[in-house]
Amino acid sequence: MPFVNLESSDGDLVKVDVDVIKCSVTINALIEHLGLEDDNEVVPLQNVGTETLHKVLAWAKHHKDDLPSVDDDEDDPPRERRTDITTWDANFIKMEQIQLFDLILAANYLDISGLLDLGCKIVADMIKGKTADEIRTMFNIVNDLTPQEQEQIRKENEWCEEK
Amino acid sequence: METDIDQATIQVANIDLVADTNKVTMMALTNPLILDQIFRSLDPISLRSVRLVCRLWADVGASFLGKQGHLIFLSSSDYYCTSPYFTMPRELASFNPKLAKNVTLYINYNCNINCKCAPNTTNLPSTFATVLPSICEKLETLRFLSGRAFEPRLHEMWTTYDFPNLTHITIIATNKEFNQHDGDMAFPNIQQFRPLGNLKVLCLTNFLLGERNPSESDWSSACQGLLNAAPNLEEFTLNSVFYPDLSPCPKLKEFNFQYKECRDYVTKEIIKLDISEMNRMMERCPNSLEKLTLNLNPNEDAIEPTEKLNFRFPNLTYLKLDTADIFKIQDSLNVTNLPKLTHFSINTCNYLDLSKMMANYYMHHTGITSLNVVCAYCAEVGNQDRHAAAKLVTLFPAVKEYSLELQIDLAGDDVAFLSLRAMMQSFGGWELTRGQVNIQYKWIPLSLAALNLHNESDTEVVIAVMEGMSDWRALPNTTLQFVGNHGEPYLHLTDRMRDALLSCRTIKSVTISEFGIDEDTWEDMNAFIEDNNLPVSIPNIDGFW
Repeated sequence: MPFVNLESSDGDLVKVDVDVIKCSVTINALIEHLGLEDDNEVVPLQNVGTETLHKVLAWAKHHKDDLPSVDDDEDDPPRERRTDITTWDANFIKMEQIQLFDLILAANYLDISGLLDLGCKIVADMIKGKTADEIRTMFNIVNDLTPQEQEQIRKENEWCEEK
Repeated sequence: METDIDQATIQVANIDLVADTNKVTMMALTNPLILDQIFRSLDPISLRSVRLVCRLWADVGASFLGKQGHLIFLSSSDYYCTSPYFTMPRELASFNPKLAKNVTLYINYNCNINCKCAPNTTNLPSTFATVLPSICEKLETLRFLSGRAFEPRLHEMWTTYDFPNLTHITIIATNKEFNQHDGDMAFPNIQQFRPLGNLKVLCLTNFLLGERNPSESDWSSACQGLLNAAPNLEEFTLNSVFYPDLSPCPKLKEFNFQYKECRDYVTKEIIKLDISEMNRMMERCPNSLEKLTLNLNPNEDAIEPTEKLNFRFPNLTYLKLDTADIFKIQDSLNVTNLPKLTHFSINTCNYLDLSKMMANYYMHHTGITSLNVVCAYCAEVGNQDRHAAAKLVTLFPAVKEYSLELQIDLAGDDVAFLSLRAMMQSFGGWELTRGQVNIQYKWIPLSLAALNLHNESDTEVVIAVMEGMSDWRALPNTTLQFVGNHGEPYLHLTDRMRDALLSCRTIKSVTISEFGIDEDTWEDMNAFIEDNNLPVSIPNIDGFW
């Protein structure tokens, strides 16, 4: 079965080479679970819109021949892990905030670790060096911390010294 | 009218877009799995900021901040023995267990002879003792910096709590206030420690200040208890005067052992290295060992022990020895005992010369491809060093990567410089893929340096080394560095210096730094280097003109 039809949440069908989308743990599991055997079978993706699905597939097509990713060593310093964004990925990920978070949600739902990692690194870069107020403004996040809680967190933060 | 309708439509569309953006953004940024992925790329400063954004971020961010930071707990004595290097204990009310992944404990670490803290201050820091039950399962690294080697309450901890995620333990003891507190201390019986199944790295350092005190046996049994509880240990560093049994750690890959002579507290006799005990320890060391560093005794009077170390490690690839130790292991350094050995490093604390280092060594090892030598060049025995260098090439013929750090003094005559050149020539037999030679001038008092008359022989060492290396087959793969000392020696651009520089023109790079040089000579030298396109750099350091 070289191809599979993916149905976006908008109801559009997109035919895709199975080899391209093998990076998605979710789609692999769905193909296996639904027992799809011919090219006309449809895999419903209720959480991914058509526009985002096309972006996911563009990324997947480019990374089709990548070696399987090795899990990050959590002991690695974050500064060293940041340097592995390729030029292609950097150009690919240039998009509006809503598209970026749509892509991250899709990567999370489809369980594509490489794409999720890329999107999250970009968000991390947006956060770096900003104050809590600036971050809240940037993402329109409501502050649900009481002044007492904020004070406690400040004390905790002070106590935890850099390694 | 139509324009107003269009603008209203645009405004509604913008509001919808903002609402959609907010909705999508919130869906992503309130998903703990996605937050987890974002926060793992953040540095501690950014993590402190994100923890102040909202409750969810504060909670998710705590784990990552805890992983990247560490908490410090001080004993009460350290609190009173205030030091500018340590901060006061923080409020326990603000404690968050998620932050406690990496913990450092100071226990009587800052006590000194005039300390007024009570003799019974052997408890763990009170704040740490309070939170320990809630953090023991999350702890990943623990560092203890203690005034004495054996802390009863500390070691009782291993029998009381489980530490399933603990991967690193470091214990550093100074023993500096032994007389102050240890005399009346009653040591509890240490039962078997609870398993430390995830422990990978254990570092135990006891900086004995001249005397081994009676608590040493308790310290050694506590250390053995930790080893017995750590079947998955991979790296063990021990600096002490006892010989643990390493057989409970069958996965041990790296062992660093330093033995430092000291006097017994009661008998005042020097406790020397016991080779029999040492051999017993090495025999029980697992075959999984890949890296071994031994520093058994840097004292020169222990150079020729009557008994020799004998060990075999089928998987050892890296061996580092202090200079004097090569005499103790001379029969073990061969392909039968160490068939996989590829990296060999001979270091020296006392800067012995090469001939002394190699005097009694005669075994070949054809598997060693990487050799690192740190030694001194002594003008009086320079001729012997030439033979020692040739011997080194013969004994280890497969060396591809060679690093030589040579400490050298200014004193010398023509014979000494000729010998130095011959010695450097002797290293040229290797087909190196990477060579690195560092020539470091010995420290000389500034008062003597000031007396130096800056004659042209100052740079004879530079000339001799470069002339000696000029025929090296691996010159294009070799870097050479000369490091002077306080502006000594003084660099002169003589005809011989010009010839020496030209003779090494195919070398990868030469750096001559921290020499004295006058401005005109520096300019002439750089012009000469530029004219001849030589890979030589002479950094212009302020104060040495």
